[in-house]
Amino acid sequence: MPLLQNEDPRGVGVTAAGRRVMAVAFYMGLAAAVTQVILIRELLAFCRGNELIIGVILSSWFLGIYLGARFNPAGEIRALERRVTLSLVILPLAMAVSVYGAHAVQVLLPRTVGTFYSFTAEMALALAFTAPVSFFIGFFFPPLVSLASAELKERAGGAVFFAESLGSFAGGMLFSFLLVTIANPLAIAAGLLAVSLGFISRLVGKKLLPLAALPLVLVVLSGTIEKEVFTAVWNRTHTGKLVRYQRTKYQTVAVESTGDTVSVYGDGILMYTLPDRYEARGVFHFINALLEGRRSVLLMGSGPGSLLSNLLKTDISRLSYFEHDPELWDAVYPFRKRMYRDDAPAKLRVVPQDLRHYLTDSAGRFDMIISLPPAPENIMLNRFYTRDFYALCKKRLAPGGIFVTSLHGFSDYLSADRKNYIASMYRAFAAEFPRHLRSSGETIYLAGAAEEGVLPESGEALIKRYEKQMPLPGGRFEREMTDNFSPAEMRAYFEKTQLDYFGSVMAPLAKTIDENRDLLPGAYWKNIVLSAFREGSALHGLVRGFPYLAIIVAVLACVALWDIGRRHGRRRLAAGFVIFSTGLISISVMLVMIVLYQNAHGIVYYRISLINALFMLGLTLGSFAATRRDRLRLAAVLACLPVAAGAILASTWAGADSLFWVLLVAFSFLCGAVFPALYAAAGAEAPLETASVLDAMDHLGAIAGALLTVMVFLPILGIRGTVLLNMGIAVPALVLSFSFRTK
Amino acid sequence: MKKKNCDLMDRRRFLAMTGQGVCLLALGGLGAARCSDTYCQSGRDHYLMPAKMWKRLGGGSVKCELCPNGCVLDDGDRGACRVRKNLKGSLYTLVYSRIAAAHVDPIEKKPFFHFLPGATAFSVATAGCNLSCKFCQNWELSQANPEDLDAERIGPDDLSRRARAVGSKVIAFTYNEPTVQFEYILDASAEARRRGVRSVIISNGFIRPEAGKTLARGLDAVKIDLKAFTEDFYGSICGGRLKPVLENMAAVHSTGKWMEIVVLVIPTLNDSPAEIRRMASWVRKNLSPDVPMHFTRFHAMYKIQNLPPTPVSTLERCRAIAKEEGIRYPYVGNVDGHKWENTYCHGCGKMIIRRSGFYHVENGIRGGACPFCKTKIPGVWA
Repeated sequence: MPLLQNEDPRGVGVTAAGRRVMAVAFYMGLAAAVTQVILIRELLAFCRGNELIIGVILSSWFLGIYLGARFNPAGEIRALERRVTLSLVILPLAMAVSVYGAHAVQVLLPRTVGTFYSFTAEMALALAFTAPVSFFIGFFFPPLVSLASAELKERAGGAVFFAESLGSFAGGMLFSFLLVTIANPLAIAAGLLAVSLGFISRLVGKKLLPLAALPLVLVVLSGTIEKEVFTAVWNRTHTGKLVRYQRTKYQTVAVESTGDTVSVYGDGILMYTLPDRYEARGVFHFINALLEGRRSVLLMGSGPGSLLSNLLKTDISRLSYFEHDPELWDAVYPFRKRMYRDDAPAKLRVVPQDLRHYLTDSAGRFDMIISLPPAPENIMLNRFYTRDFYALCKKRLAPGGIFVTSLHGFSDYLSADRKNYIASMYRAFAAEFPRHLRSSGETIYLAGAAEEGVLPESGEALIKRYEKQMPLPGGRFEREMTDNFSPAEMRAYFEKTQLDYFGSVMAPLAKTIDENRDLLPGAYWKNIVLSAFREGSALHGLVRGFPYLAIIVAVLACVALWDIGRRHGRRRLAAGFVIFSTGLISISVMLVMIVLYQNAHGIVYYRISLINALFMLGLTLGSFAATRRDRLRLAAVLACLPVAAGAILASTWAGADSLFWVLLVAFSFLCGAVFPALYAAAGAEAPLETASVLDAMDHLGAIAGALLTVMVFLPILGIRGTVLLNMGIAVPALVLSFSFRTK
Repeated sequence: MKKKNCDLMDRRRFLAMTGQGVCLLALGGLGAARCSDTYCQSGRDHYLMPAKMWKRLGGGSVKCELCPNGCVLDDGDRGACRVRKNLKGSLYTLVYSRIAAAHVDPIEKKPFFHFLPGATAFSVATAGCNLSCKFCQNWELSQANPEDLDAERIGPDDLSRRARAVGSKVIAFTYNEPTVQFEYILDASAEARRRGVRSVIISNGFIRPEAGKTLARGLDAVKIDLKAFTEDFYGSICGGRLKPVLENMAAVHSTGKWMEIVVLVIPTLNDSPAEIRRMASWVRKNLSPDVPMHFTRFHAMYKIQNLPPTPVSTLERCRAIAKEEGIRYPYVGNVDGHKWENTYCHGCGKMIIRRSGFYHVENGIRGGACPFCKTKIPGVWA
């Protein structure tokens, strides 16, 4: 029996075949959405989890789809059916291979313990583990359109696109609200494989269902298998032994034991090590010297170690400790309790919330806010180093309140890249807290107050004040917390030549460097540049000389368009250009939306799939509308695209957080409408050819959008500039759209 | 509407102008590269100075004999250290007086625990290093070319003047690998001695024994970072070799200059008890049991960014092993306030120097001896 093709064009089989085609498209969309978000999480766990890598993963994803669509020659119906069937089976298998390959590669390509792969290697690995999976998402699409065209004619492209987008929406929702909390990647891959086999069994009419039982067994055993694999790989590639790991909805948390210490990793990045009584000693006394009876304190980013433990022994009346991921606190607290032997006193309140979110919503005022986040490796962390954040903290300080934060400093010399990196954050801080106290060293501590006279005039004044106030040697601090402490130790925080050097370097930069802001996350980008410099990566030249990438992308796009013109003629060349532009704009704006969401709400991993799902919902509705309603003309759709982007731009001024999801869906609605409208306008008479060109160029545009947005647009132009640029990019596509005859 | 010709550019003219532009840019780039090279060759670089410790080979090549890398350099080439260059068949140093970092640090920060406790050291650095350790704290200096760093000229005579001006009685050549400033240190340490200022280096010890001895004679103390005790570690993590370091340490110690050893203990990489035991045993047998050994705590640095700090218990274990092997003054380092950062007399076991961090030092030693049992304490105390 033919797999998908209508067996009897005149009978009831027409509808049945059509339904089968749509079901396959829906399922592949669902599987693709789930696979994509799982790959992002797993690859982030061995790459550095920043937006650059997310952009690279997305572009690799689209590259795979592009290749799958591009290398898809016309063929007999049987051949087309085989391609679809093959894609159904291979997709879940390829996902499992990629997910566990990403773990295995750490054993196969060993690196010095504690180092990362180079950026270049990370990008190559992201490509290697992503593109082969997504290849099959591109590979099934043109044959399916071709098979559907016998029945749906010129609407085939739009209809399949609609069904696939609907599946992606469903997949995103399924993952965000269910799978993320209950299933590991192996279980999901096995589950998808079982469904695929069930599907094929139904499609080909053969009894393959018993075969589907095998993956179901894997689903049951997946927890044990995963734990064994994860533990074995960890113990071979890290310094300690893995004692706990958990995939939370925010990240993969791993806890390892080394000697008498316990280290906690989030997505493979070291977060903190306990006990840290020697590490926290200096900063504790720095803060304690500033406390002076301040009683309500917020603390974020230190980890639940010695600083927290010591602060609880001071006369603070209420200490709110912020830990966004409650699972992380649960994972660490047993170890902390063992090490510090103190029960959480009543004055400790663990707040499972993002500090920024809390400060934005809260009407309270606090005597001291302490923010000690990790370096701005990603935009989620960058938002704790922006002027917007510093302004928010200042606003929430009680009269006489003090804000304490840290910057990543320097050893003895500031290279050009490090200067820029530190200056962008320091300038943001100094703009809000012109009166501040600054320490020297590899970690620079900053204390700022909103009013005059709150802070001591210098480090030396702070030390002298502390010498008078601190408990006597042999007193409580000595005995319980910081053995052998002398206030003179704090001079290490205020080394004169280091402070003078820092001041002399920062003074000229403070006038020229962009201050770090939510909407222009300069420190995040400068941190990537510094990291590339540190590892001597070839990427350093590329990321410092931003326009090169844009030129490379433009040249590659021209080559692809030339290839289309040569093979398919001018009309499809124009169509290719239009869909390339909209593909670029759509993914670029989606990344902007992710960053905007992250700025407002913090950690986003599990929300990426939701953002993706709602984006897909918009695509679905758009493609549905364009497929069903001929009135939805291409030019009108393209004219609305910059308007929708403009609304997103306006929302950044208005701070209309509640409109976020509406704008997301509205924008993606227009993106979704482009494909079917263009498909109908540009040549539905040759469905495989047109679907192949449009699908390929759509994804090529998405690749360009993903790469350029994370590596060029956002770093140079910031969020608003990126949206504005995208609005500009839509204009030539709009002009060109008038060359098509839209019915 | 017809436009004037002058308003339009035809395709041929556009291509010609674009071609010319590209050629000009390319020539400009080449010219700039050439200029930067000839800048040194013309001798206008005021940091340029003829190097010592090298020999001519045929065909304009030279062989640098300062460190065990033994770089063979053709005209225009630089050594692995980035700061010694063959210019027309002669070797030059590019970092003479080219000071990129200058700070006043407590001597305990180096760390020297038996050399003028409580003193400050005027600490200076240039670019360059002959190793490429993945955990380098000062990689922005050590792994850079001199011309890429902001630097100021501090001549040998200026250096001791500056040290005195900031109240330091010691000059420390530190942060990057000082032996790559061989010529500068020879001159600056001699000048410092004339002015009553002491000179010390904080070195990786990867220098040929003859050069090491020559350098040490002008100095007052040498601190060596012994990175590990396996060739594998030196090869894969540092881009060097262990054996020449040991040979140099023995040679330098034979000059009678005060020496202390620092071992940065990195989890997994060099913290095995057997390795530490062999190391301590070697120090006792080939140098002296009086040479202090500091087992310091690693923190994420340079390329090793994702490794936890060394457990303090590991450092305590290393110290205990060294003590068992007969080292009289083994310390735990980078752990402010730890009891094994204090100095205990090897005669009576009582605390004779109390430290907490770099800035709190209570020195009980009197006349170079223990105030309790009068045992002479090895070190430089005045």
